[in-house]
Amino acid sequence: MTTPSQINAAPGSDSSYEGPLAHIENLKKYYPVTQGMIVRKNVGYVKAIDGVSIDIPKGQTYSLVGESGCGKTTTARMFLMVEKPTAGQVFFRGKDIHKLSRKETADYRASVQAVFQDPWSSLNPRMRVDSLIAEPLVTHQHLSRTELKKRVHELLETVGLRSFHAERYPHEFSGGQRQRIAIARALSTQPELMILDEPVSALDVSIRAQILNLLKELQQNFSLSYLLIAHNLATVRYMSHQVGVMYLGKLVEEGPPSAVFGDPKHPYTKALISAALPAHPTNDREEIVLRGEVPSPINPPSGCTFHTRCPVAMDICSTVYPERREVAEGHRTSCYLYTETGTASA
Amino acid sequence: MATFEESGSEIVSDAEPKLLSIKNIASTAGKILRARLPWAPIIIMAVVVICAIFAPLLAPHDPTDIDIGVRKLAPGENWSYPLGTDRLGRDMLSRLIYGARTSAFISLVALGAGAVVGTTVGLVSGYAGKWTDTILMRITDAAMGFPTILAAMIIVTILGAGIANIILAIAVTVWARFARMIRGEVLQVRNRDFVLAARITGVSPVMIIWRHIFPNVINTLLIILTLLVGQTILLEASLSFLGLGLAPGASAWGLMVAEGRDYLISMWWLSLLPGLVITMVVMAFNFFGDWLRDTLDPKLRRSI
Repeated sequence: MTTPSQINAAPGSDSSYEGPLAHIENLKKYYPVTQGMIVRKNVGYVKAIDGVSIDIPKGQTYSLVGESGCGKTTTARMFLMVEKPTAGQVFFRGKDIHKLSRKETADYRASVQAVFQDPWSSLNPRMRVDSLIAEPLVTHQHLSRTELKKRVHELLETVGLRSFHAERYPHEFSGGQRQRIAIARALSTQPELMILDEPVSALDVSIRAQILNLLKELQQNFSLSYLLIAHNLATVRYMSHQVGVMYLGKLVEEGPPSAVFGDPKHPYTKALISAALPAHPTNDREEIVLRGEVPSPINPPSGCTFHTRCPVAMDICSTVYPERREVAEGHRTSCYLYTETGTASA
Repeated sequence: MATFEESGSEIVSDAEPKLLSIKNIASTAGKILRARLPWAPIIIMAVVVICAIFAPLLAPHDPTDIDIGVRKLAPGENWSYPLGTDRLGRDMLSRLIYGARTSAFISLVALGAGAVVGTTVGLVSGYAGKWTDTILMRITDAAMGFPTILAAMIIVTILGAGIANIILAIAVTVWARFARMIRGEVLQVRNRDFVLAARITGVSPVMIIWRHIFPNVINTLLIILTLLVGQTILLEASLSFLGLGLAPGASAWGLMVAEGRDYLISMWWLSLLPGLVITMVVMAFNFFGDWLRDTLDPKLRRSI
């Protein structure tokens, strides 16, 4: 494993800042639903994210889990600055990313990179591997041809490829190798935060472990922070320091993986974990099968959005969304089962 | 905490890159040779191109040379004028060969101009979306709906006759087809993850269009180009036939058909020969375009 030479100091580094590397506060993203051809009128909003707050500490992995459409990917995209949130803020090193100057925005873009699910779609088929990997570098730094070439070769070796692969096109590689190229590209500007959107879901099972191990190794060597989105709970358990469970645009439970998976509190988390296959078929497990479908995010249920499907719903659940409570050290959940009002009425 | 074990080693090819690239070239060449090429259209297209380039060497006579002594010869009557002569004694074969030059020049320049404008509009419109897209596409609709002949008449009336104005008239209407098709392709390409990856890296929109989107719509562009060559030649012929643009006496296929239409009974070859040439060339380009479309992009089976 070679360590890429330090080319620039971490952008925007401010030694006095000691909070989490990145955090979002009460973030909301609503997409308007319009009707009518000429005169558009809003008939409602899709509440993709509805009041989510998470902290991503330096050098750690925060994972978001939940079923399709729960807002995991939208949350991750808020860090990539491709869309503006409806309300709430995204902070990086304590600064609101939507209030950065031009120069700071460029630095931010260099410090936050992403690896996507499908390496067949995330690499431009018409570009050679070296220009793919060098693109973020060319955009952010002024390097000579030889420096660029050297850096590309270093990056290729960092992710376990060979330097002669630089002259090839993406179609000449397997899925795992392509994902390595995507990782090398993301690493090129020495980012501090990497958004991993289902980084191994599209890969063969035999390759997944290799890519996950590579990501862990890179995290240790470069003290990277990851925001991982995954639906495979085993992947999440292996990779993360913190796990957040999302349901209908809200964070229902978060905590260290041992707590969230070992002692789930929220009824939705319990159902989610029970739906995953156990490590061994003879392992005993409680099977919770949820009734019905996920409600539409256009008109989410009142109160706790999960009460329509919750096996232990109470009267209070349909009134107001429950506040987030700490049930154990670092383990928080939003459920009336763990509040005084809830336990009182139960 | 579950642990993963390294399972199955991923194959990292050790082959020499140079060897591989030679092999690649060989296999690509092999594929092209093995593919069933549309030989008839290719031969016709080649003949047109060769005639256009080497017209002075190939033509047996000067196409403008008037010789009353050999006027009104039918094809085959005198073998130094194999395709006969017109009522002024100009050699038909030479005029047809020079006509290829006119047609090729006019349609290529007009198409090229249309392609540059249309592709730019399509790329910008498709990538920018929203209001930019709406406005550009309405302009495109207007240009597509405007009859070419009418556009040509207006341009010729205002700017006067000449090759440049014919080219302008064709380009003014043809760009819209490029804009439409390219925009459609851009809408597909821009949703791929590599475009998002470039955006989050902070690559400028111009560079994203140039480096990521344009190279991925070149196939479509190539197909539209070949399919439109035939139509452009036909357009140029119609415009010349109507007397819009080229001066009488010039060697253009459409003009030759027009000149011969008063003598259809007495000198049938005057109109028939250039008419046949136009038909064959247009069909050759259309068939070749169809083949190219089916080979490169089977999902593009919409009429252009």
